[in-house]
Amino acid sequence: MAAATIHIRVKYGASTEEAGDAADLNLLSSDLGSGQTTASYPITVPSVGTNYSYERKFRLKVEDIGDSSRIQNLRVYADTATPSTGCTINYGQTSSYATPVNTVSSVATDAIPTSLPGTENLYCGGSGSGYLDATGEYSDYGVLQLAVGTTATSGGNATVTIAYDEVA
Amino acid sequence: MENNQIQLTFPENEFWQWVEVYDDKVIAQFDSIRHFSDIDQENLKHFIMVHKLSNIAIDIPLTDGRRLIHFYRNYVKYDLVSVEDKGHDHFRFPVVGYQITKNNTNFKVLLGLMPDGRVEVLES
Repeated sequence: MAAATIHIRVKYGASTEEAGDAADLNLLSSDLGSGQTTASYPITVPSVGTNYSYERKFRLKVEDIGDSSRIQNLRVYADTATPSTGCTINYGQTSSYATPVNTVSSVATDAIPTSLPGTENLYCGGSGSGYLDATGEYSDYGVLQLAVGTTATSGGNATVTIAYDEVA
Repeated sequence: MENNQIQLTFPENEFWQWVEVYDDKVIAQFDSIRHFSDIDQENLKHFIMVHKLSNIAIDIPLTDGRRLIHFYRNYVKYDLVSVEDKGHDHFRFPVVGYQITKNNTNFKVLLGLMPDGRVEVLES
């Protein structure tokens, strides 16, 4: 059978969506698309308070449904929510897009789960139990943001996983 | 069913396929493109997952009110790194199992079937 082709699409700026699969989901100090040199866009360690990356917004797009009948059960998690001391990766989801901010996100408000969540945390159509069943359809938006505190140390990394189920 | 043998063909990049066993017929997933919704769960007797390269076959008898589950789990992994971009990986494998309801509570058994023939019990 031909598997469905699913792209992770990054969206940034007022409403710029990348045309292809995201090269990365890196969290930067500028509101840019994927494929940037991360060292050029560091988030500095604040002397007081917290600095934030720009929100990284992405969604799934069914590039080709293939021989599958539906895509469902979308879940987002990471191997760690604290890639280095004083740094936290936050996550949330929304059905509507707004220009990413580098102040505290009103969407990515919780530390990203560090194992596969038991239920969806990236919806299709604004609520749970939704699904994608046609080429060209999109999920809602997943939003990531890095919070950098005064005790932050440089370096560290994390692996963000987007899981979805494909019904034949 | 008596002494039935079928020849299985596997599309490229597919390491497992299902075989539906009914009282009067046997249907392999890739004989024609079968969708999960094509499966006649009311009359299905056994659902067998067969591995392409080994002799492994996982037989799920559809007895005692078991409702069949089958889908492909996909993991897309992005490394968030401080210096260099490592891109992303995509891993896909079939998941098979069943759901049964007892005392108004649903219980699921899910098995992840890896390309090399390994089988992992999944929690969700």
